[in-house]
Amino acid sequence: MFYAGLALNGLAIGCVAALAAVGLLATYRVTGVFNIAFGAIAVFCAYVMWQCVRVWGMPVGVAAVLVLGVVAPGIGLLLERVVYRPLRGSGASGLLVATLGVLVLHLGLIFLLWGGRSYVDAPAILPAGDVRLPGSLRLPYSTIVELCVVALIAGALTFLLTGTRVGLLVRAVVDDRDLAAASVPADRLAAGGWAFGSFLAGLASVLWAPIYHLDPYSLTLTVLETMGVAVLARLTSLPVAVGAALAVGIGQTELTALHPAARWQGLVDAFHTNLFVLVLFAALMVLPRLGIRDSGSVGAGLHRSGARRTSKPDLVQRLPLGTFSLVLGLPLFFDPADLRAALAVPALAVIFVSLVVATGYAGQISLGQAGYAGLGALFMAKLAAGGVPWLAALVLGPLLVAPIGWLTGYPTIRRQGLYLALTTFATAAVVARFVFAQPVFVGGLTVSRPPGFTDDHWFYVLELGGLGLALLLVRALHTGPLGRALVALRDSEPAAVSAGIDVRRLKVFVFACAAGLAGLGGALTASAAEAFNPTDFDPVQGLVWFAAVAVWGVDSAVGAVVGAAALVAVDVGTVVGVSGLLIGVGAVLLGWFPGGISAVVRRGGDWLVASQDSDREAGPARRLSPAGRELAARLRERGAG
Amino acid sequence: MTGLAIRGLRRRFGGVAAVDGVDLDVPAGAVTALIGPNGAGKTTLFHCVTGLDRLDGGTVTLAGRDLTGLAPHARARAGLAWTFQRIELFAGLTVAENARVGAENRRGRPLVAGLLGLPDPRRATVGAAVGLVLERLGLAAVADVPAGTLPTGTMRLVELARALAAEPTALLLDEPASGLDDRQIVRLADVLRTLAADGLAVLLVEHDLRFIRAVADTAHLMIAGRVEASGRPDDVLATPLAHDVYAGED
Repeated sequence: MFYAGLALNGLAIGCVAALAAVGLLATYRVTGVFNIAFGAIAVFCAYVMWQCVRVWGMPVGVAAVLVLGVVAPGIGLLLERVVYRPLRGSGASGLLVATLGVLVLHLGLIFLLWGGRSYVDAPAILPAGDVRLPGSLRLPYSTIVELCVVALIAGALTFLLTGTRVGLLVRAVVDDRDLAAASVPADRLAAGGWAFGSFLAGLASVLWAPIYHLDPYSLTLTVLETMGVAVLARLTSLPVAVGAALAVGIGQTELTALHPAARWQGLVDAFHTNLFVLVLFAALMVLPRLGIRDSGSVGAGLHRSGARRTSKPDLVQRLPLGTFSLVLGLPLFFDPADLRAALAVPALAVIFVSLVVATGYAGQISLGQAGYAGLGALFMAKLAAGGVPWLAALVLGPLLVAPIGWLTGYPTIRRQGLYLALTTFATAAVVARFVFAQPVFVGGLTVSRPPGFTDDHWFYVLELGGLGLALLLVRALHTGPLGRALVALRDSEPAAVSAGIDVRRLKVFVFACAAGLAGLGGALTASAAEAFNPTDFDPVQGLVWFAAVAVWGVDSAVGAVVGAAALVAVDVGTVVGVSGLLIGVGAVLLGWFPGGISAVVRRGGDWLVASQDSDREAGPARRLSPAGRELAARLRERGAG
Repeated sequence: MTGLAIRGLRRRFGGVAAVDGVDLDVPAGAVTALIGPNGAGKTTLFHCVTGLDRLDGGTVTLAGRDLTGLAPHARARAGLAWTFQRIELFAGLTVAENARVGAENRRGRPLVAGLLGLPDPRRATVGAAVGLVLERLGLAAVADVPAGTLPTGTMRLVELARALAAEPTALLLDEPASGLDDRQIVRLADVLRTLAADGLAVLLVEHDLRFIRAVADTAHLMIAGRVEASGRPDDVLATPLAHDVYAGED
């Protein structure tokens, strides 16, 4: 009977996860987009609900109708029209960045409107109380309603998609929207799909909020972790997703009954509180592929169009190194408070540069850099605690992260696009839950700065040295045979193989380099703050970083450094939430300016350079394409002959 | 044998034998064509030879060296070069850099050496090989042009340049004339004849019968996973089977 009671408790958790998984899958099946922002939209709706009831005093029922009938579907319609419709035909990566943008945008709004505060008094729409079962067991009304809602939505949607003409049309739109548009109202169907998907997010939030307290990061991460059951269902089967969610929920509570030897209790506790993370990680590692159309490395929207030019430096590259260094050195003349704030810039820049290496140069989407950054900080602190001098620990800690990047990168080498993105995110989530959240690893950690660098001025100089080293490494990865091999890997993996490039080895190598760099950034972050703060390395924070780098230009190291400086400046100079809002808007609009801000600057510089060059060139040849110039040269040769 | 030898190659998809015990010789110093209708198994055979697809039986040897168990990149380093039916090139690199990638990776080099910026001892030979190939394919004038901005026909030549820059022993081309204009086809035919004369083993998968007649020494007609006829291109194309397949063409 004890275990049956635990199972009923687990059923409640499973219902919440099932609701999230059904929402994710339903959105995916009716829109074709795996909406990573689902959790953030849900949390935003929950905050609106809280505002309506607790601040404006609306009755719970009226507020629920407003949130579920207007706000949530309205968000879906707006997203479809402004964000996703312009992106049709984009690769999986373009859509991924857009969904990350939506996620960051909603988090930014929550921080801006509610200061990111947590609330424990979220209004409940379901009645309190429970049903008495034989053996003194009790089943809460809320669980019964949630079970009914999940079963109803999963059943109705399965029937709609597989047994009706509307389902056929929806599948046609998801498969090829442009082709379907010739015979069905594709835009209206897609808009309906997004409105429905957002309604489900709103519904989930209204049902969850009383169970979990409102918190932007933790609740978003909780929803993201339930992606595991959607992955187990290979993003196709709603019944499998529901069954898996209930099973994991029940399994999670049953684990609380396990009482092994004291030394293992911590591990068992970690398992039972984080079973969904483990399921996500294990499912992504084990399943050979998802039921998604997903190919290529980094698709449209992330890289600038055209070529990486190695013969002519562009405007960004022409920026004198001295000028760049001078700008980065300016904080040394700031007042103490501003200098203290500026300490975050070089550390964050190194982390951003690590993203440029993995995603920009090698085309391997990595959403897990926050985990590597945190490990760099942790290893540094542990080494120092073990007697290694702080300066040596600052170097060795990140170096130890590189092999971990190698190990964790190895299973991902066959994955691409969204699958790779989810796998790297799951890695960061596992590290966050099983390492950063465990007192056995992080309890009692102290972090100090190396002797001689305790003063902010000198520490900032040390940070600039670290950033310089990182940029030197990046330069080596961007030039010469290694740089060309990375571009080859990014542009065409089959062609890279045919050229004799061992792409597996190269991918893992890049993961290791990027992990080491992120580790250095994390170690500098912790040293600057003189504390190891796990929230600095939250996996959701990693998603924000990825979106920020994408906005500034995922293949521009200079853009990454400037982006880090801009992010810190906005955070310091404005109210909380503005930076998230700006990053979110930039990411969702990335389809309009492929390659990000650095590409826009680059194109402007190219245009200026081309204008100057064309003024120097004589004759009409200046207006010809390269092929035209070749033809003109041949004609001239023929004429001369 | 100094060229490419395929023995008893088999590949099944479920109950269908896409390649059914094919024996094929691609001798050095000659151009060999593989022809046949769509679905005959030509591209599957191509992928099994390059290692892009696994094979269910048989062997692939190049100049006497067994390639059967090697990964695709290792086959490339062993002297096998190939191009794709759908153009695959490095759009973010210039034409010359595309060829350089082919030449630079023929032999493995420790990745750490590249990271530390150690000088590449092969730099001079790589540069010479690239220059020679670009000249030979008429690409010297567009050497510094981004490959992704070129017309389709020129892109095909860039693919070929990448393959040739590795100085391979055998060259496999999947529909190389596709997308080329008449002038480029003539140049390609000249290049392939010259390469074969220099001792390269060339295997073509091609639908353009005029091109086959102009360039190939030997043709193999493949139907339903089997090689049904072999010989001089004109002789093979004169067989009743070829008539059935290519009725109305040429």
